[in-house]
Parts: sequence; C-alpha cells; structure tokens
Amino acid sequence: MKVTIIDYGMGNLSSVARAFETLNAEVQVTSRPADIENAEKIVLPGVGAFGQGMQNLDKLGLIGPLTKTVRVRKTPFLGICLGMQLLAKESLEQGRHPGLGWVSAGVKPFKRNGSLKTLHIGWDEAVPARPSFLFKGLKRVPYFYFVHGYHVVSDNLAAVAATTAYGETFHSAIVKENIAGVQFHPEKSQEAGLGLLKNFLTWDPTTEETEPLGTLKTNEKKTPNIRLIPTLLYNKGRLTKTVRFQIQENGIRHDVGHPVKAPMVYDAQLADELVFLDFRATTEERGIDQLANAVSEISGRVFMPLTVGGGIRTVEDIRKLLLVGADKVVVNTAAVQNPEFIREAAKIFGSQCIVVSIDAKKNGNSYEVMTHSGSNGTGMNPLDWAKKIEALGAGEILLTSIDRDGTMEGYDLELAQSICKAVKIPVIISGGAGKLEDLALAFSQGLATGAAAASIFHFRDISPIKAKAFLNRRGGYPVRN
Amino acid sequence: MRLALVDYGMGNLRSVANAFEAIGEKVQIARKAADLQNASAIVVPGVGAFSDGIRNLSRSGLIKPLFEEVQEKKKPYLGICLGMQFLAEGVSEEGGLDSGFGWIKSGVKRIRPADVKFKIPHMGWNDLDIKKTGGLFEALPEDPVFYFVHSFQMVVAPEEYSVITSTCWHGTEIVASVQKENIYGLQFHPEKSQRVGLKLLENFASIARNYAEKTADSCPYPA
Amino acid sequence: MPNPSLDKESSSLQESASKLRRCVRCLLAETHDTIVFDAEGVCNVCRNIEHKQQVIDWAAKKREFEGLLDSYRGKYAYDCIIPFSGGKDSTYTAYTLVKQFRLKPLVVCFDHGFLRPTVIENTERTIRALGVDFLKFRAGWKVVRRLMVESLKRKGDFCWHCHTGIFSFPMQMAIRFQVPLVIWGEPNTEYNAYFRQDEQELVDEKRFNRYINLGITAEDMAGMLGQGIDERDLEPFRYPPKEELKKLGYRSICLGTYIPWDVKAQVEVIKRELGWKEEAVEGVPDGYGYEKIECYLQGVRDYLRFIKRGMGRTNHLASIDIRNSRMTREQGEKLMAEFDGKRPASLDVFLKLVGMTEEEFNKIALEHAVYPHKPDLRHVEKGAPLWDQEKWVSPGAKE
Repeated sequence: MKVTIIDYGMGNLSSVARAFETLNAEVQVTSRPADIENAEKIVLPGVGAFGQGMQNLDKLGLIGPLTKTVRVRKTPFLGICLGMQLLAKESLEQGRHPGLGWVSAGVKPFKRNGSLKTLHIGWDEAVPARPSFLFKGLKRVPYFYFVHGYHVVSDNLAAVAATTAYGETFHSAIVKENIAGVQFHPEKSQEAGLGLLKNFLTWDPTTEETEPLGTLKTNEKKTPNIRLIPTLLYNKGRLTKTVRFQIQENGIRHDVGHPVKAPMVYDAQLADELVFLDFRATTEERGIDQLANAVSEISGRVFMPLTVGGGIRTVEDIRKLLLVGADKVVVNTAAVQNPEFIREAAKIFGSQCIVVSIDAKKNGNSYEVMTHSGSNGTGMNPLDWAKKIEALGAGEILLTSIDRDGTMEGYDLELAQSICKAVKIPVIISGGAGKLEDLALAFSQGLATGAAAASIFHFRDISPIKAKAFLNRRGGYPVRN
Repeated sequence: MRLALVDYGMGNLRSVANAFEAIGEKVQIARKAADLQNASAIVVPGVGAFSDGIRNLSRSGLIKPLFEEVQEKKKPYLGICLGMQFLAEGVSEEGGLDSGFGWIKSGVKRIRPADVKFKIPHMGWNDLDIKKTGGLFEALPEDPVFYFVHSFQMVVAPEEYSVITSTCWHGTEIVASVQKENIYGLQFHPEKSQRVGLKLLENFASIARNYAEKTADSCPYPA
Repeated sequence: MPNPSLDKESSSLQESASKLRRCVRCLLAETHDTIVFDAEGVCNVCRNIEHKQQVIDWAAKKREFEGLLDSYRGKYAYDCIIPFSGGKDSTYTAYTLVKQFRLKPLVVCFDHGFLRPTVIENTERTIRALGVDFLKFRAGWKVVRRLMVESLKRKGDFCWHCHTGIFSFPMQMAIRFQVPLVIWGEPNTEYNAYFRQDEQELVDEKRFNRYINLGITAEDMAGMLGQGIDERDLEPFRYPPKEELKKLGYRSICLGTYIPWDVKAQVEVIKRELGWKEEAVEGVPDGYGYEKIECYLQGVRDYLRFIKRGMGRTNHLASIDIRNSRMTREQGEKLMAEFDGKRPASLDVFLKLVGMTEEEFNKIALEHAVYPHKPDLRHVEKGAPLWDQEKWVSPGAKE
C-alpha cells in the first residue's frame, strides 16, 4: 500500500513517514501536484500557523490538485493536527483565514479558563462519538498525544468521530466520506497511534460505510421514511368517500365509518398519520366547530399525528384546532383567496404545522387549481401555486388529483412528479390509490414523501400494516414498522 | 403528585393532556406562577415559532417561576418539541434573535440536510439512535420510532454533548432528546407516537412521582 | 427505489396462483397479508416459528403461566373465560385449562350460525366430559345476513360477523360476569406476522382493530348498513369500551404464548380424552379432518381466499406441515395442485343463503384479488359436495 505524504513546509514530516514505514507502507513524500493526483492515499500532516499553512499550499499550487483528488476522485485522505484544521472553513488563528472548507467547521482558540494553559499539550483521551474506521481494534477510549493551541469545532455533528475535553469539549477527530482528520499526533501516540494509521491504510471508504456513521441504525438509513396516510372525509357526523369530489348518495361509498372508531382502527394498523377533513365545510359555510369537536374526541383516543382541515379561515380557527389536538392544519380556499394568510399562519404557528392543499383538475393538457371542494376554478396552475405556497412559508403540500379521487385507478403520477420535483417541502399526494402497487408508485414514480389514500383502505382488504408489508417485500421503501 | 401542563397558548395542549390521561395520569393546566409552584413536575409542550412561544411565556409571567421551580428546586421538567428548544440559549434565525432559558448550552437553528431527499420540515416517523438508555427510555421496545414535525433543531455545544440522550438522522444528525439532571427535552412528539410514546410519558410520570415522594414532608408520626 | 413491474394480464385461477412468488421454505405466497421474504427467500412466518422453536424457554413460560393463574384462581365467579368454537384449538385449550391447570372456567361459544353436525356433537361431548358451565350465543339471522353481504362487498370477506363476534362476545361476557381473565388458544404468530417476535400478542382491542375486524368496527358497520338497523343489532359485535375493561382489570391472553402449540399432537389428545371426532372438510385432502371443521361455509371462504390470494386451505395446511418438517415442499406443491382452487359445492348453499347470484359473487371476489394475483374464473373445476351438505340448515328460508 502506498501513502503519499504532502510536504508543504509545515514541520518535520519524517516521524509521520517513519510511522507508516513501520507498518510496511510504501511512503512517498512530495510537493508535486502530479504526485497528488496519482496518489492512492493522501496524508496531510503539519504543525504551525493556519494562515501560513494555507499560503504554502497555495504557493505550491496544491490546493487545486488536492481538491480534485480528494473531493472529486474521493481518494482517502488523512489530515493530522494542522492538516485536520485546514479542512475547516476558516480559522481565527491570528486573524481570520479561510481553510479548504471541506468540512463545515471552524478553528478557534481555547478560552482562557483559570489554570488551564491555552496550549493543549500532552496525552489525552479521544472519546469516540460513534464507531468509525479510525478506532477499530483500539481501546474503547484511546489516549493520544496532542500539541495545539487551536481546535476544530464542527457544526456537522455527523462528521464528528471523536471529542476531547480540555476546559471545553472540542472535536478531536472527524470523518466525512473519504476525508478523515485527527487533531492529535498518531505518529507520536505509540500503539494506539499506529493502530489508527494502520486502520487508515486499510480503509476503503467505498466499501465501508461511506459516512463515518458506523453501525448505528439511525444513520444507516440513506432515505427518510415514507408515510402512508389514510384520509378520512368527515361529513355531518359520519365518514364518507367521494368520487371526483362528489358525495355518492347511494352504495357503499356513502358511509365508510364512524369518525372516532375509524381513526382507532388506523392507529392499530400502524398508519403513520391521519388526514381528517370536513371537506364540505367551506362550501356549506359551517366553520370549524364541528370539525373541532370531532378532532377533540379523536385526539383523546389515538396518539398519532392528525392533519386536519376544512373550513379554516382565520388564525383563530387554526389555534382552536391545534388546541383540541390537531398537529397540522390543512388550508385550501382561504389560502387561495389570501395567500398572505399562509405567511401569517406560518409565522405564528411555525411552518411545520401549515399544510396547504392543492386540489388539481385536469383541463386538456394542463391542470388547474380548484377551491370549494373542487367546484370553483382559480385559473392558477398547480406548479406555480406550489412554488408560491413554499415561498410563503407553508410546511407541506397536500396534492390531490380531483380526476382520480375515488376512482381507484392509480395516482396521477405525472402531476405528482412535477410538483414534488419543484418544491423542497414535503408533498403528500392523494387521489386514486386502488391497489398495493399504486402505493409503491407514489414514491418511486410520483416522488412523494407521503401517500394519502382512502378507497383502497375502505373497499379492499388492505390496511396500512398490510401495505407496509407489501412495500417491505418490494424493498427500497423505508417504512416504519 | 401533580403534573403541571403549561398553557401558554402555543398549540397542542389537548393532545398532551389526553396522552397523560390515557396512561392514567391527571394533569393540571398551568397558566400562572402559583400553578407551577404547586406542581411536582412541569411539562411544557408546544408547536410553533420559538419567538412567539418565548414571548407568550414571558407575557404570562411564567419564565421566572420556571427558573425557580426547575433550576432551583429541581422539579422534573419535560419539554416537548418547542418546550425542548426553549432549553437553548437562543434562536438565531427564526425571525430575529430571541433568548431561551439557556439551561443547556445550545442554540436553535434551521435544519439543513445535506441531501435534498430529506425535506424540511422534518415530518414523519424516524427512529432514534439512543445514546443513553434508562431515564425516559427505560423499558422501551427495541428500535423505537417516534413522530417528528419541526423545521428547527437544537444544536448542542460540544462541551454539553453529554446531555444528548438520542439523535436521529434526517440528512443530518439531529438531537432528538436531551437530559440534564432534572431537565428532559424531546424534539419528537411522544403524545403522537402511539404506544411507545405513551410508554415514554409513563416513564416521565414515574420520574415525577419519585421526585414528589422524595420531597414530600415525611410524617414524624407514622401510622 | 426499484421500478415496479407492470401489471400482469389476467390468467386462469390456478395459473395465476402458480405465478406468485412463494416462500422457498413453506410455500406461502406473496399475497399473504404481512408476508415479507428475507434475503434467502424465507418468509417472516417461518422465521417467527423458528424463533418459537429455538429461542423460547418453554419451561420458564409455563412457570410464568402458573404464577399468573395463581393470582386469579378462586377469586371471581369463574377463574377465567374460555372462548370456544368446538374446533380443535379451543377444545384443546378448554381441556388443558380444566384438566391440567385445574381452572373453573366459563366456556363461551359465539355461534356463527353455520355449525356442522359433527361439531355440535363434539361440543356436547366436550362440555359433558369437562363438566364446565357453558354459554352459547347466536346473533339474529336477518342482521347476520346483511352483515355478510356488506362485508363481502367491502372487504371480499363475508365473515365479519364471525370475526368480530368471536372476539367481542367473550369480552362482553367477561364484563357481565366480572371475570377478568380470558384465555384463548393459539397465538396468531403461528400463521402470520402482525406482531413482532418480541411483542407479546395480547388479545385486546388493538389486535382486534389491527387484523381481526377487517378494519370495520360495529360503530362503523351500523352506519354502513344504514336504514332499518337499530344500533343494538350490532351490540354482539362491538368490542367493549376500554374503560369498562380497564375497570375490570382484564387480562386477555393466548395459551399458546405459554405452551408450545403442536396441532397434530393436541388433536390426538382430544380424540383420546374427549372422544372428539374428525370430519371431512371441503377441498382438503384426507388426513386433515381436524382443521376448520366447525363451519359449513368454510369451503366458500377458502374458495374466496383462493380467488383473492391464490392460496387455498391445502396450501395453508401444507405450509404448517412443511414448517414442522412433516412434509416436503414438493409433496405440498403436489397436494395444492390437486386440491386447491376448486369451486366448492357449498357455494350454492351460500348463494341461496345470502340471495346472490354466482356472477355477482365472482365479480366481487375478483375485485378483491390482491396484487399481483390476477385470476379469471372462466375455467374453474367443480368440487364434490360433502356428505353432510344435505343436513345443513335449509337455506332459502324466507325473511
């Protein structure tokens, strides 16, 4: 294994080179850009001032090649002491100096604190913040040798591999993808130090956990959990199911259950959230009182997220619904009539509880945003409206295809994808789910963060827990089990 | 034992009260200083903006008694979501600069995931990476999953890392819960996290009960 | 995320079933609710059973059970309630609790209305032999008939009244007689994976809502039936309020959580000790005369399931035998090909009972086929009637 050690005039590199040699590595000490580009492993050691270090790298024309090799080609990199600090965005050592900026971090002096010296010299613990390749096979809390007056503090907690306390806690090791840095001197740290350098020699960031996040389960997940969300349409004391937003006066869709019992069922069936809408409230001008009463009862029975809406017109309406147990509120007509309402509500209650619903209807090749349970056109197209909603501070979009509602023919994936791609806030898509496959498509093709569904749960022998088993079978859909 | 649930006009009071009731714990809605003084434990829920929340608390005259009861008398404190973020020194982005309680050396910042797959707000169910078991996490099932809904996160200063009891991953590591002595903070919503959430509230209730028993005047003439 | 495959074209009943992905070990198909396959292609039901066979310390479980019983024995009107159908599992449960654990139970039977003669006789013998108090209840036919049609339309399953009655009625009796302990037979992990291995399966309202009641509570159903229904008509199917159960301090558990469940051995015990008799079941090979003999509409239920999921009763039985190393996968496949997926003669009885044509029945059943199973019903082989079909209660009785 070959190691390329960069000589940029910052201190004696021979002890680092010798340490690698004892580990049977082929060592190359160099200042030439071409050598860096051909390196298999790069070590940037160094002691001295930050500003000087950056200046030297620059003068030697090494910053470009280093960036290219490490950031683009992802060649494994180890920064030692100053070499670690140079990874930061900037340092406060002798004025402000920009660093390589590969890790979101800064370099600060130690605070003067009683008897502690401002220089940290000697053996100290590096407490692993999480499993990482650096500490494999070492003692649980290894000791290393430190000499430094400034230290790294990263606001990217995920990159912190170890911490050390010296008057205050600082980040003594970081690992981010193929980039590692240690504040201490492994080449001076006997067995633990050699163990760490050996780990670096055998480190392959592409096959190992690319993020330095070890075996912790949370961090293995590369994508957020998807959400399956039953939608319940509340209408005069019972639940109903529409087809293209029309109440069906006859047949099994007319009544689909009890407003409090049905949520209890979905709770037991591991639904991730419920959307509960008094969807005719605006059209029938009944305000939110009935809705609030229902939500109050539901929230005493189920302990899961409730997204509720229908008839919301004022900040007071929202406050009232949140007070009786809603977690998020859905605004539609009121937002269209007065977009500033979104901003105002988000400011008071936080973006995270303001959901704006977009009811979209297809007209030929384009879509139109509708209000009043789908009966009034607005002339707006959903994509523009979605962007505007986001800009106004809404936390989420509930996107419903009126044409697919209740048809069980599948989501309008084209519509879903166009909106989901255009905004950074989460989008729940709704309207059309009729079979298990549709739920998978909502995520794989529609790119939704949540899939709302009603008919499939009402009129098929399918429940959220069964749907989740299906998505688990499919693989690649992270669900909460 | 008296569980005081602080009402400062920010959101989901009812859900939290319901959840405690579901596990057989009565809560008392606290709106003034005396309510906190009479309590054996204090729960601060809340959704919404940090600044509005702090202002409301301050207007209700609750901040001073909170400091007295929690900081000095060491009553168990449970902050949920916004109630956890109040523990920070302040918020630096959300509509200006507002101070929190400063009980934990930390700030409140907007979540910035590295990857666009992770949408903001962080909404939905996420698993915890539990750093410290016991306490609120006592006897929880393996790999618990909780419901989150927030755009801001608590960023704990390195010297206070020991208070972090769990984190979660949403394109970036997020502090999901903290504990510092008698002070507990949860970024997620136990009251919305089904059975496992209720179990966590039960754990807080028993912590509160222990406190209440320890501090009760012991009768010099036992029956 | 993977790019899911496109819809398949429909194909004949057997053919569509044969295209389904199945557990490489036990033959359960991908259409089985909650099934998930691991990297080796083994399903989670198999893994659960493995766990049960290898990990659980049954001696400790039994001690735990004895301790639990001690806190109830002799303290109430009855030591426990035993929900009872007359089938093998509940018969063995009653036998074990009375003879081995020396309990005085109240045995409660919710009669779904389609009990076969042999089961009625078996029940008589069992009740006499055990000498227990026995309570049997049957809900009114007019309501049951409407419930059957309604749940068939909504969920492709006409047995809602039976699922909900069986699990609600004994709980109601627990409250009425103030008996807090209710002991059921086998836990569900034997057949599917609605609960994790480390979760104890309590027979409570959550379980009821999770997968017993088809997602429909009695309160839901009352409004769905609409006109002409008195809310009281749904009372037998209503899970009692949590508050009342809490007040009672109820505990509702499965015997199978505490003793290993071995159906074949247990059947031998009840045959020997109680004179329990086997009976032929529609569409099932010989040698399984103990499974699901309690309902004469079982054949229709299994047929419906085959249309929905491409899995028949023989599949179910073979899966259990394969898991317990009593049958090879190949033997199972052969039996399934021979017996599963036939149109049962009892379908005529069912159609007459509920007043429906076969076309209507088929249409509803096909609507509920679980993705990716997509059968058609053009060429379905007919099955032979059971010997006792003519003895079943005369259908077509006028309302």
